[in-house]
Amino acid sequence: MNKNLYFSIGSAPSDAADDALMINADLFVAMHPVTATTSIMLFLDRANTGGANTQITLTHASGMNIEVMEDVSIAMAGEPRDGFIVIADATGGEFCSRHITDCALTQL
Amino acid sequence: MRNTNLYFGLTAAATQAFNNVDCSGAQTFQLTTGGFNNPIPVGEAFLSNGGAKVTVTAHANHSFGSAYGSPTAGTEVDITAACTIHASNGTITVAKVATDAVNGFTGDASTAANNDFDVTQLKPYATAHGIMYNSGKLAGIAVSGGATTALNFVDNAGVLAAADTITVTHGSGLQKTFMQELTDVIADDNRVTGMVVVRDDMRDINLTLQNASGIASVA
Repeated sequence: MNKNLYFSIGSAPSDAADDALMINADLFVAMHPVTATTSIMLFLDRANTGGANTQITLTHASGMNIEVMEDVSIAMAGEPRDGFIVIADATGGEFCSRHITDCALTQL
Repeated sequence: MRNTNLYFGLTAAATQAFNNVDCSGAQTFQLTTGGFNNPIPVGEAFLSNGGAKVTVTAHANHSFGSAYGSPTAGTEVDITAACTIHASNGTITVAKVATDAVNGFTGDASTAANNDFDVTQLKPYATAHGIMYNSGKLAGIAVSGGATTALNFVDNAGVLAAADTITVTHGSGLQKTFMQELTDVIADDNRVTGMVVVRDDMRDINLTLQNASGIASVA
């Protein structure tokens, strides 16, 4: 199954460049804590230029980095019929983990 | 097979000791970047969310809330439930029994030397503490020593001609056993819910309970 991960940064309306992103799950490389309240997801360049990676920073409750990584992994392991998996939709208030509160996209 | 992510806990738990704490007034001590970890944890919920634990060496002159029973002098007692942490500067405050009759703790107000606390990290929270890789980005696994195996992943910074290398230390000569353990777990959808801990030095967790390859550490 071809899976895609959805992110939005909370802009309302979500209509400017890079307000939201759907990225092929196969481009996901790694994820790690940054601070006690943020963890980062690293993808191969979504523009497919072979350049710098695409980074998604998730803001979450303090000290819950490992739980967020587990929840993201569970979400990615899901098999929805449409292959559309919401990891963090800050605009729509939908998150794959109850610990996540916000989302930021960088180096797109 | 489902998508599987592999987690590696790369550092041991940080600890900081606070000995001879003055408990005559407010019972406070402050985590430091040099003593605990750089950076120190942020967020008022860090302790209540299980990010670290606070313990005290019980003394006859200490008073404990009802939740602790009657600890014997000399034993290490987990008093995290009595503690709060500042949102950003790492200062931990321990509530006294007079304030919290259940979870509170009151140290020896007359002799600071009887008040020894320890703070121990329980979860990763900084970049170097751990990393989770997409198993699909595992390019290869190679023997790298008598008791080590190197896992090469696609570079997480997006550099095409580079790789991230994770080195697992295990029993001598058990490289093939480790590789088979790893692929067996990755391939088994019934055992995997998404994230697999290959080795976590902080929490002392291995790939399997049986640990046939004798996994001991990761770097």
